[in-house]
Amino acid sequence: MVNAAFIDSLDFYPGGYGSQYGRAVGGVVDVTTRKGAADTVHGSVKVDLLDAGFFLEAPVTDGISVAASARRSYIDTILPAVLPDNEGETLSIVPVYWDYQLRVDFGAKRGTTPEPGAARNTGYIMAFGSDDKLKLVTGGEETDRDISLDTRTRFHRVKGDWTYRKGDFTSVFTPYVGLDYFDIAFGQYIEHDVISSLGAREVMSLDVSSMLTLRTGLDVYFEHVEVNVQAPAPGGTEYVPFPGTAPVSELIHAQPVVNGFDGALFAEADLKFGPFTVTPGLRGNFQRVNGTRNWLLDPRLWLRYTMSERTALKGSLGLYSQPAETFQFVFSPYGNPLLDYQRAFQTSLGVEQRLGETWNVDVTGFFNRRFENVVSPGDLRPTGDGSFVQDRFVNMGIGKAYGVELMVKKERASATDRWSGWLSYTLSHAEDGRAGPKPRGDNPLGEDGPPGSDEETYGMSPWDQTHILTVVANYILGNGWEIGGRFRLTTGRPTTPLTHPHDIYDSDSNNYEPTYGAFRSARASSFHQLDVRVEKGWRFDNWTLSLYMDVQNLYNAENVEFVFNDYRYRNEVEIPGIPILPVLGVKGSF
Amino acid sequence: MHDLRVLGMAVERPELMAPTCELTAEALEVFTEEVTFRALLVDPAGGGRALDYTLWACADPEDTICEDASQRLLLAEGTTTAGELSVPIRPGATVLPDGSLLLDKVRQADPYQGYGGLRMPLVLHVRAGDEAVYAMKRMVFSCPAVPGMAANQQPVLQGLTLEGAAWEEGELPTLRGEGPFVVRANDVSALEESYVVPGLRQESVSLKEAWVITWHATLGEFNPEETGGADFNGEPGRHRTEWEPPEKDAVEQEVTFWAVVRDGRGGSSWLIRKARWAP
Repeated sequence: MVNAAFIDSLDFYPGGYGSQYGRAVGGVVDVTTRKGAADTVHGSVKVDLLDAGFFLEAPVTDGISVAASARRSYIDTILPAVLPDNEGETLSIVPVYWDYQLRVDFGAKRGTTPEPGAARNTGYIMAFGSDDKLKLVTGGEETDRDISLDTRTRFHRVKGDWTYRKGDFTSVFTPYVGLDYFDIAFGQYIEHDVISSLGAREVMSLDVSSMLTLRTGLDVYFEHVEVNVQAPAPGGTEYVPFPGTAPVSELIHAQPVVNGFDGALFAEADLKFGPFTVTPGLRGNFQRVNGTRNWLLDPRLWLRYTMSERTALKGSLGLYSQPAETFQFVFSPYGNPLLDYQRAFQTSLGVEQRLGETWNVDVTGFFNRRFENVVSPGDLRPTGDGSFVQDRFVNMGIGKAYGVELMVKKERASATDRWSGWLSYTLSHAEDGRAGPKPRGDNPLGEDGPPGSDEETYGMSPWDQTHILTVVANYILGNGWEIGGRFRLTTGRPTTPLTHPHDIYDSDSNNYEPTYGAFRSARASSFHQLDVRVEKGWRFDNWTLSLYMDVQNLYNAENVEFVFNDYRYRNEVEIPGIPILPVLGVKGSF
Repeated sequence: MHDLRVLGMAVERPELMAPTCELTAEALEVFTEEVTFRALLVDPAGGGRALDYTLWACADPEDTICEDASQRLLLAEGTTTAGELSVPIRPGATVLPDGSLLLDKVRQADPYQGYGGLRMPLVLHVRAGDEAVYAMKRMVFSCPAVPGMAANQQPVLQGLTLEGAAWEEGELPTLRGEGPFVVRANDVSALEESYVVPGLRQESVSLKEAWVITWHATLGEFNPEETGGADFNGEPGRHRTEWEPPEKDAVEQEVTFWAVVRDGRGGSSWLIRKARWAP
């Protein structure tokens, strides 16, 4: 979605992050884009089998630079040539995708160094977005069904960033606006959604002394969600369905509008006592969605002990919260207007060690406990008029996870150092589920599959992976040649095994019923894959040309991507994922 | 299809609708009427062997094999052969050992407390040799909870065509080659009932049946194996399918075909046809 040339850094915080971060009970990803070149014009053009794109960066005037990129897929022009053409049948598939990014930087003048104590303003404005369309039409008298699907997902974002520095004071103001469109027309089901968003973040930092740094600010976000949907009345939400084939239902039309605000004030301080740094923090959250108001406080604490220039111990603990998505507050049974914050307690303890000039090692143990998470569906409950309602969402999710993460990074020590890379390994255990048994009911928008109704849902998390290993390495061979690779090895995710003591046939639905063993007591096969990239570059007077080959799944590992059952649920069949996939590409830069 | 299977189950009448939603003697009289239970049993490789069967009624729709002995009652048992099993039953009149009416237990086990009608599980257990299958269908009891409700009528197919020609019961058309051979059901759209059910958000919801036909054969396979019905998007399908003989290792033989229709609210029936196929 964002051209790789735009990415300056991408940091993942699995937990224990600062008070300025919120709206998450799991990890957060901090992506920063890089400014356009302030010296001269640079650019690149990339073409491969699936899409083509460009990246361009240039100074405009002294202190102002611009960078832009765009990409478009052209699979929509290739597909018609390979689709079958059968008499009596129509088949048309048209996927179209494009995206763009534009960034304008200001304030950083070439060759100038701000005078001590002088105020300095820098900043940028960035716009980005994408448009993803898919149209599929199939049918005709020689088929058993006409299908017409037309979807389109678009978004646009404009984000600003103004950094003000004077002396020991720093202020970073980051406003942003967004517009999201989602359209789908699938037979009689027609939905058109528009989400308008507006937010801002202000972080102020003051170095009071060598022993004390203060940070405070606010983080506000407003979302206006308009949903316009026409749909056949679904069983389970509009009427009590009979198992099996659905009838042709009367059309219902709804235009719910949900206004959601989530804001936070936060403050934290770095207190340094010799080798110790203590950072207490507090984040106060307030959410208002239509008439529902939620608020809570998230206290957090970080500790860091710098044992030497090369070794540091670190630890954290705190409460974290995440508001339910605004659209989840839509009226029951399609949502639940009374949702509350999802919450988590997180704690970690680790050590950072620098080895030599180019190696960094980080080992961190973690434990987190999640509660009041949003799960689906809610309990089926009677209403005052003798009817029943089943909320689509409810704050009954619980879970916990613990483990240890190892990160080893190798940087290039100099221009003659030929290789760099990193290794990441996580040993962990995660549990997930809901407080209480799975409710009965027929809400088609709820989660299906095991366990069955009235059974306990708490067990291994579906995302639990005992071992996650990633090794990335890059080696410069010389004479324009470069080779890189990535190897991944992960434990298979938990599954619920079939037992099949006998065939159970539901005559009303013409389906067989599965009989499952203990909930998530088995695992899918482990995943391992090696991807390799070889690149050859040529340098000319004003530009460079590179030819590359990406080979995914180099040794053609048959990793299980899907697991299907036979129609009587007697056996499971494993379907492997993508086999070896070489992609040849060319890229020119100037 | 080669092994022991239950392809369809039906109750004649498919829905017992009481004249009132109060549990009066008048309502009980309807609910306790005798009905005919039918099941389509097939056993192509069985060579006409005896099939043992047991038919239970129970209270909990989640109990797909009527395992809970305290909430089930035996309706029938015996021995039969492949074909249509027909048994008269009166499940609405059954009383559990503790003296309670099974229908009342059905209402208690229903998360909707009978709001959408009572669906009593009927479980047929069929055994032959080392093969066995449990088959479940829900028998529907209802009352006119909202204006416009009427008892369901059994869906009945109005004949089939094979390669564009009428395919009557008792005929034995000959098919040659690898096909595929187009099979259609005669238009049933005029028979698909419009009906009304109590609504969960509004007083009532208007629906129209979208019959589904499942296609089976003793040789080869149908593609698709199921036609009709309404999609998620509310569009009904066409009853057109193709029968494809096996690509190899098959000899000339008589093939039996079954078309089982369901109306999506408990009603079901089936047609049986035969043809001679030669490679």
